Amino acid sequence: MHRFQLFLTGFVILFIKTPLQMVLGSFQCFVVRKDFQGEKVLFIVIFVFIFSLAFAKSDEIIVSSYVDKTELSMDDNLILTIEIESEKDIKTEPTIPQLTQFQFVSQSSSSSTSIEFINGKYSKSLSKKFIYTLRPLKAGEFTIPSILVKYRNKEYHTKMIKVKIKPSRFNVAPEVTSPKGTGREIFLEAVCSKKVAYIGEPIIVTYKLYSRKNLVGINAEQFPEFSGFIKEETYQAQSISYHLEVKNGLQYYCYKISEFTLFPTHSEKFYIKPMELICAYKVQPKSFFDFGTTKRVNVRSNKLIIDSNDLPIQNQPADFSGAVGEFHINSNLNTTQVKAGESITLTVTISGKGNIKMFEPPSFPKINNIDTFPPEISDILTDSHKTQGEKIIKYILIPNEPGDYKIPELTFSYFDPEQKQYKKISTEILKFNVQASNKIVDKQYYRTPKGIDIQGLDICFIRTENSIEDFSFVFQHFVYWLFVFISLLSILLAHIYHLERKKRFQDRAYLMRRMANRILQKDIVKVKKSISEQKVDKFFVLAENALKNYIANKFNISSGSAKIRDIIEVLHNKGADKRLINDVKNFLVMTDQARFGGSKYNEEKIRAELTNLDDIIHRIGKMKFRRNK
Amino acid sequence: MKKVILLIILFFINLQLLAGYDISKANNAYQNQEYEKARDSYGELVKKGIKNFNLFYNLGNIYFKLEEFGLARLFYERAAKFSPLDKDLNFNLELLKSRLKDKEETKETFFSHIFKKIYYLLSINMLAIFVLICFILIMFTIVLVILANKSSTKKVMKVFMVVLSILFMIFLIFTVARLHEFHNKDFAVIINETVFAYSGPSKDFQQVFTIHEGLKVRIEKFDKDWLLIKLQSGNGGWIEKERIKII
Repeated sequence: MHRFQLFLTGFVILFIKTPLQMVLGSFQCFVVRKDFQGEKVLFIVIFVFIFSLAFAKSDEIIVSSYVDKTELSMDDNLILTIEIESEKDIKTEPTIPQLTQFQFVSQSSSSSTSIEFINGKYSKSLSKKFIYTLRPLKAGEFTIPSILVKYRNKEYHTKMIKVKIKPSRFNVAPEVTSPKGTGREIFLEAVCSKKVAYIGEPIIVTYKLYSRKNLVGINAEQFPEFSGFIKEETYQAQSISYHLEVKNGLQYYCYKISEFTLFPTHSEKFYIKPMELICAYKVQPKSFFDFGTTKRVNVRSNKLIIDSNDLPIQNQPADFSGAVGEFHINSNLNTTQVKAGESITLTVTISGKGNIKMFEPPSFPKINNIDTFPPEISDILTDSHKTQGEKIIKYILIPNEPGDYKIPELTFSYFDPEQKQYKKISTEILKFNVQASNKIVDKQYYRTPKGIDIQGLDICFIRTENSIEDFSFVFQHFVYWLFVFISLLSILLAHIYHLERKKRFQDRAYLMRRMANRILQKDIVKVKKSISEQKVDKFFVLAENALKNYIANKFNISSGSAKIRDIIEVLHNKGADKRLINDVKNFLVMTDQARFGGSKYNEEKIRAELTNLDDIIHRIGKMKFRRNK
Repeated sequence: MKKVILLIILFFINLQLLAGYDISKANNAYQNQEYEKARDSYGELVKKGIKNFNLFYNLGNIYFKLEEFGLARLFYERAAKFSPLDKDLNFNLELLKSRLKDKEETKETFFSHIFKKIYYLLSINMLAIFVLICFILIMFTIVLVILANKSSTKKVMKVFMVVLSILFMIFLIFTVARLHEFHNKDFAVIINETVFAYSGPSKDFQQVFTIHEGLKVRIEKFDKDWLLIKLQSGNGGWIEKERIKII
């Protein structure tokens, strides 16, 4: 068991990579130590080892640079390697200073990982190599300056390297060509048909690669951009094909790379960035055992400068719509005899050389009783440069009424860049005859399938309300929040009311007070009943009880034991006026007396007493109200 | 008491009168096809910061007539924030889209159409009022629950309260979502005739696409004078700030 744990510990230590594992490893050691009382030394060794490992693990990197040779001739390439060694996979690139004596031919990078176990110690290192192939431009002694590598805000510099370049052994111009590379081995030429052009005037740009050697591969490194132009790609090389061409007395393989037709969109002096290609060719084997190698060269074309000019504003016709070039116009009708309601097609063809795709067709004038529809336009380009061809415009006309019609001449203006002036051309006047349709239903027949005859689409009319309000949200208004506040408040009030009510119901006196009226009502009903039954004795007993109960309930005294004196005292204490007290006293005395000598009261008198009772009760009710206030 | 009510009514009438702006002159100018005059007249109100569906809709129409499709689109889109389902507006907007150089595809399934109809059925203000009504009713039921003596009444009121709370939440979510959409400044309209988009915030970067006046785009990022926009197709590019206007 101990051995197994020890093994596990070693295993953890071996693969320590993250701080978490480190903690785990330490913990493991701790467990092992507990069981391995006798081997404390081992534990200490392991513990120290783990922490030394942890702290030794830093982010340092090692940067070095070297060249494949320090002495070379103008014909050779120099291979500069920058190596970055680190323990982790890092993402950084060296910053290469400007090297004026050399030209970069190619760049590549590689990385390798090495894992070592030395005496059980594990170490991993990653090395990244950046390899630059340089071509010397001049002979002499040069120093490759120290190269900077930035990593985690730290800067690492390599050592400077001295290089000696001897003059060429063969005295041949270098293969990498300068833009104007006539007489060179390989060069790329950009040719434009015009250096100065008007807006909309087509310019043909051709890229041709000339080589004395038979190329085996061509790769595009950088393609030019043509911002500010409408670009038509007319040719793009799909495979390596060539024809022979003699240039400056030398025979070259000529590879046509691509061709564009450009139409400037605004006036500016445009600088078109050169095209860059990487060409590969085979070097002839020098001996029997040499199988030959493939060499790569970087070729760059010349820069193009195109100056585009605005079209003259002077004498610009009103119907000019951007056509630049040389054009002819003609028109024809598909028939000259139609029936009313049938369609007739007017075809206008503008043919010639120029920016055929880029201008608007002549507008069709409005003719009475003829419906027209938006014309159908098609562009047919006949040449490979897409500058020649014709624009075919088909107008569909539907005459509504019979008669002879005349289509006026349609004029079209264009700018002739050769003669630097605007030109106006027009079609011939065309005539056609419309006959009445022999069926009256004919017209309807034409219209019914389409339902309603739609002459054109337009937007819906404006809103004509003459007064508008600034939009605001309802909740931006204080009334909205007032409602919210009131409803919240209502809950609070309801709650307070509820609590208050609960408290009162627990109070007996209050309950009795509340009940007083209800009991009184019942008593009064009994009293009235006794009158209707003509029971005089009962009336006085009930009336007295009614009054006593009412006062007792109202003022929280026991009704049973209430004597006249007590009642008067209570009334006095509660602040009743003297008249009321007197009336109550009189009434009670009267009922007492009447109970024993009731025969002298007739019905009329009893009713008078009843109203007296009502009056007293009313006054007591009011009194209570006043007091509470 | 009567006096107080009268005063409150008068106060609201006054408020209504104060809030109104007279646009009869501009409307007449439009009717007489003097679009430029109408544009200036409406434009003054826009400068004042007034927001109103009719104002934006009418201005959209004017720019349409003046063939400034970018600005027409801008004002139609602004109007659409107030009333997204307005028939006239949507007709005009569709017509406008058909005149633009860049075509936009709108994919609308049956369900999304139904959802849109429901979602935009009520205006934000109407939704807010419904929220308020639900709130007041909830409070009212709570008051009744507190005050009711009978336990059966309390039970009924509690059921009402739950139903009203659900409605309240639905209306509230709709209101908040619509408000968020209303204040959204992520969309903009191209107002220059032709705009080149580059792969970075400078003209030195590679040109990636060309867009034209009136196209609605989504703004992704700001960088001083440059904006990263995204097209419907998902293509992104940097354009100059002054070439677009935020809806």
